[in-house]
Amino acid sequence: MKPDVNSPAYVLAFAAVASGLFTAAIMSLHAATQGVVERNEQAYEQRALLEVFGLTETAAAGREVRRGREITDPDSGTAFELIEGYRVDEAGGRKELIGYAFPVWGVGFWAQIRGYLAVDSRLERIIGIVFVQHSETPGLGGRITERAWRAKFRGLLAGDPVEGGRHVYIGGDKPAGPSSPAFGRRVDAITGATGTSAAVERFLNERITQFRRAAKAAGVGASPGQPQRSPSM
Amino acid sequence: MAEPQETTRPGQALVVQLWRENPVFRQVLGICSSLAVTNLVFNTALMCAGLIWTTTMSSLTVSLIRDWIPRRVRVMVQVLIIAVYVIVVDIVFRALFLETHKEIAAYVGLIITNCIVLGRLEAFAGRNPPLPSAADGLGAGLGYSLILLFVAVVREILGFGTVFKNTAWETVVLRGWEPGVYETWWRNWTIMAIPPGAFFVLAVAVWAARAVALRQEAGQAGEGAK
Repeated sequence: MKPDVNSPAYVLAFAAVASGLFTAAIMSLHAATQGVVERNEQAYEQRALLEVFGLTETAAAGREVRRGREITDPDSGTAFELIEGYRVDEAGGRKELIGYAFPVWGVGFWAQIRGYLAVDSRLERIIGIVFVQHSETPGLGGRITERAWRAKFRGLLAGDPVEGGRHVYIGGDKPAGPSSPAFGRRVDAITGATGTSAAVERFLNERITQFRRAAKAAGVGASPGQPQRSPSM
Repeated sequence: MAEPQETTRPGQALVVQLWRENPVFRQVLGICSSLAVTNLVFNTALMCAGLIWTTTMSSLTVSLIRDWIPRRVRVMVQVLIIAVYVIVVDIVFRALFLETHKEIAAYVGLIITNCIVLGRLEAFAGRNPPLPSAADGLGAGLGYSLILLFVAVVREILGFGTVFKNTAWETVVLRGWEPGVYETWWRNWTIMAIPPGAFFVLAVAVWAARAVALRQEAGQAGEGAK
C-alpha cells in the first residue's frame, strides 16, 4: 500500500524523515571519529609548536612547551596566547627559556590564515614561524607552509620597528646596506603568490606590533636587569 | 548532450559513463573543480576518490528510494543525499589525511554542487534500479577521474617538475631551475600551478580524448555499414 507521494502531508513527512535520518547518520559518524580528529588536530598543533621553537629533533625529555597564559594588548584589546618554549637539561633538570610563541592570524589571499610566530626571550629576533591553517592556492600561496621558505624568517629582527611600524618585509627590493630599513628584516616573496605574500606581511606586522605592546604591558621579555612587573610564574 | 543512453545492465552503464558519455570530455560537466585542484597529483587523487564515492553512493541511495521521493522536492532530496556523502568524505579525510585536507577542504565541500553528481541523479538514478545506478555513478566518477588525473600529472610535472609532491612517493621528473641550488635547463611553468594552466591542459585533454573517441565511433559505424 503506497501513499500518495505528491500530497503535501507526504512531502512534509518525507522531508522531515529524510532530514532526520541523514542528519543522524552524519552525527553518528562525526561522533565516532571525533576522538581521532581531535587527537590529529592536537598532535598537529603540538608538532607545529615544537617546530616553531626548533625543538622537533630534540628528545621529548629535553623539551617543554608551556601553554595557557594570555596577555592582552592594551591599545587594541587583542589577546594573545603566550606560549613558552624550554630546552630542558636532562641531567640537572634545569630549564632554559628559548623564547615565546604567539598566534598570528589574518586574512590571506583567499581566506583566513592562522599560525604561530616565535621570538627569542628578549623579543628581539624571530626564531621561527609556522602556519597551521590556510586556504591559499596549493603549490603557490600554499607554499607558505614549506620549511625552506619559513626558515628564512629565522634570525630576522623583531625589536623596535622601522618607519611605518614595520617589522617584516616580504619581497620588494633587497636592502642595499645596513642603513636600509629592510636590512635584517626581509625575506623573499613567493613566486606566483604576490597576494599571499603581501597579506602575510601585512598581518604579521600588525600582530607583532600588538604582541609587543601586550608583552610590554605584561612585563614579558624585559631584559634581565629590569624589574619584572608580572607576578612570578 | 546526446540522447540519454538508457540501459539497465550495470557493466554497460559503467562503460558508457567512463568513456562514451564521459562527463568531462563528452558532456563537459564538472570542469569547474578540475581547474582548482589539479595542480598536484595527490590532492587530485583524493578529490577523485571523494567524487567517485559521492557519485556511486548517492546514485545508489537515490535509486533505492526513488519511488518514495516526491517529484516536487526531488532536487532538494538529491542535494541532501549528496551533501551527506560529501560530509562523510570530509570527515574521513580529516581523520586520515589531515594535512592534505587542510589544502583541499574548500574544494571537497564544493563536490556538493558538482554538476556531474546531480546530473547523474536526475538523468539516471531517479529512474533506474539500484545496481545499474550505482554502476552509472561509479562510471561517471571514474570518467571524471581519468581526465583529472591526466591533467594533474601534466600540470604537476610542468608546474613543479615532480609527481606526488609533498607525499612519501614524491618523484622528481624535471629538476627545476633554482638560483644557486640547481642550475638546469628546465624552468617550472608557474602558469601550470595556477588555475589558468588547467584550461590549456584540459582543452588538450578533451581534444585528444574526443579525437580518439570519434575515430573509434567512425570505425564502428563503418563496420556496421558493411
